[in-house]
Amino acid sequence: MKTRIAIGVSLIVVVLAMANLFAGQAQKPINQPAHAGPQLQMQPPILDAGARLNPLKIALLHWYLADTETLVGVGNEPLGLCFDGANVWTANYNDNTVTKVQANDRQVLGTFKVGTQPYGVTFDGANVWVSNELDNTVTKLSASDGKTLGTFRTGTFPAWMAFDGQSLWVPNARDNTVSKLRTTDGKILGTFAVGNAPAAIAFDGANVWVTDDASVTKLRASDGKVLGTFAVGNGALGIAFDGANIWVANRNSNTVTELRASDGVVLGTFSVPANGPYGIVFDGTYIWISGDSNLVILRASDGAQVASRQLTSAGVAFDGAYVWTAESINNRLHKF
Amino acid sequence: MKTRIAIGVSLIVAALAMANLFAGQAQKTASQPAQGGSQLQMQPPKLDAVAHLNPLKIALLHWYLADTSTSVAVGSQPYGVCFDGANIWTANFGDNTVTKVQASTGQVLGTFKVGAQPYGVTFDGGNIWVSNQADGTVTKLRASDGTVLGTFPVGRFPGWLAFDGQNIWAPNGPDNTVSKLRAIDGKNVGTFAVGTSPIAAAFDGSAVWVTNYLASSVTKLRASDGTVLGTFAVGYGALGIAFDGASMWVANRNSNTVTKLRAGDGTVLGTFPAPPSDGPYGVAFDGAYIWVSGDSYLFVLRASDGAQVASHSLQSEGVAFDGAYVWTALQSGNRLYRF
Repeated sequence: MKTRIAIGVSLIVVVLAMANLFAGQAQKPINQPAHAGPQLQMQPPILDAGARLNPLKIALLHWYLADTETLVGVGNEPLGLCFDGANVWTANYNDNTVTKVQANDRQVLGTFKVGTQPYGVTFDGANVWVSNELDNTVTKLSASDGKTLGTFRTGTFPAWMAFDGQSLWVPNARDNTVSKLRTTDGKILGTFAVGNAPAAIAFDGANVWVTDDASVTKLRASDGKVLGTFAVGNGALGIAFDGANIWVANRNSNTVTELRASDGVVLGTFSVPANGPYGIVFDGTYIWISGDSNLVILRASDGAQVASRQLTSAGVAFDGAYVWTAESINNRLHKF
Repeated sequence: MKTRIAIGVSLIVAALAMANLFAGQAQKTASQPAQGGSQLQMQPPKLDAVAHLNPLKIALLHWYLADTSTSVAVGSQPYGVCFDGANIWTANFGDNTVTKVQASTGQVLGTFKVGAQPYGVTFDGGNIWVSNQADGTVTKLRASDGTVLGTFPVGRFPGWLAFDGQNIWAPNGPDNTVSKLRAIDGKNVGTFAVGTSPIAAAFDGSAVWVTNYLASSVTKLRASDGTVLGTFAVGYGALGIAFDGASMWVANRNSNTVTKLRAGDGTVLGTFPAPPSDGPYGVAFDGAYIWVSGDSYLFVLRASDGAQVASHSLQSEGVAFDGAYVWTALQSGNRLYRF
């Protein structure tokens, strides 16, 4: 949330962004666990149409989309999330740590010190990378034991990153650039101009896609060449790839945009009842969108909303069977 | 076995049930691992026709259906088994414990005390729930370390449990009911009448299905409010039940058949014979095949058409899939087998 303030202040959309934030703040009390009432009623479970294509969901008898109440306490104000094959990692923005949680049973395996205001976490196959917003650095930790392997300079206000198989891509929110770092040694291989206030990145197998305050920029991963800039909604933030298309959460338009990855054509714009959609992730069948008021699930094939639940959350990640989201205001993760 | 006696004696069909039990006992001897003979010959491995759709099977080069004869010793009389994403858990009916086994290596990670005569185990995304038959309770253990988080009353002789994403469903055999407990705190949020002697439950994404052992039927209840949506006739001695994404599969212990029902409306899509003189017990789906345990065989049906593609001479009870391998519990041998 603070990130959005920080970025918002530096931008023309400050009024819009702030209004959005206050709405989020106002909703805080009704999300306390002690509260009951109709707003918190869970939706009945529904059949997950894609579960039969996922052996892990089959093995876990996880046939449903349902509001599970499995939670795990982490550090102060968790925002970004990622999965390393066995564990979910979260960046605790307010206490300068990351937490490692074993995905299957939610056991906290460790909490590790990083830089100031860690915001994003990304896995590169062996290491977890953390963007430290106030330090203008990224920290590289060994995923196995959390040991810090290095801290490397980026641009100003590094946000949600992506790994392209060899390099780490970091959006520098206040520089309007992205940095490409070699993951073996953290060396900057290039810095490329993108749109205003870049916030998050996704990789589609060949290109990286960067959200900014009103568009996405597609860069060729091999050399950083800009292949196109495509208009989406206002305050484009979270971004995810579903194997064919790119999905973008437009925080200030309350919409989600689906673009064809090959050419950037907008395939759909979907209104979501998530006041201020934030993070986004694909689970093999569905697109999950976090936000200030609701967690919303859209069917990737046609964008139809299949479920939602009231929850204020930020980062989202999929662990192969379950979707996780960071409830920043209550310092915990939800596993669905 | 003790459970089945207890329930059977209290009912009119006791004679039938007992006959079945004695048959089971007689076959027990033939299923000891030390025995040789033609019944124990392994079938040659067969290509698993859909392994190429399963990334974990691809990664493990697990392309085959075969009797791999990997086994691990657990507690006394393991019945139910479940998978928690990394480990297999089994309820040891004979010594009031559950055992946690790392699925990838077969290493026993812990044995934890629960109630009397634990029979079923189910995972809820963070915890393991165990039905304690002789206590009429369920125990909730934290999956990460086995810590007991609570023990909650249900009806009498709770059987094999199911989780619906929010609640645990416990069939209460002699009560002819199923209890719905909120997983977060174990609070009972409803008890619903089903058929005679309910024994196992499965969830299909929106409804809970309960096998009624002595009514030869299954009851379908809406998970959100417990409304009975239908009761459907299957074979005699309906016991294990599994969902394959579209259909329900029921092991009919006394008819020696397996019934496939369409989950949408309960229509029977097929009734498939078990190997002769078996007595099907547990059922699990592995993404392509239906694995059925029983008194004499573990056999494998193709889910698409019910054709039997493999069988192994083995007496076992609970069955679970770990994403790549199928596990089954040999209560008579105090072991789990992994295929």
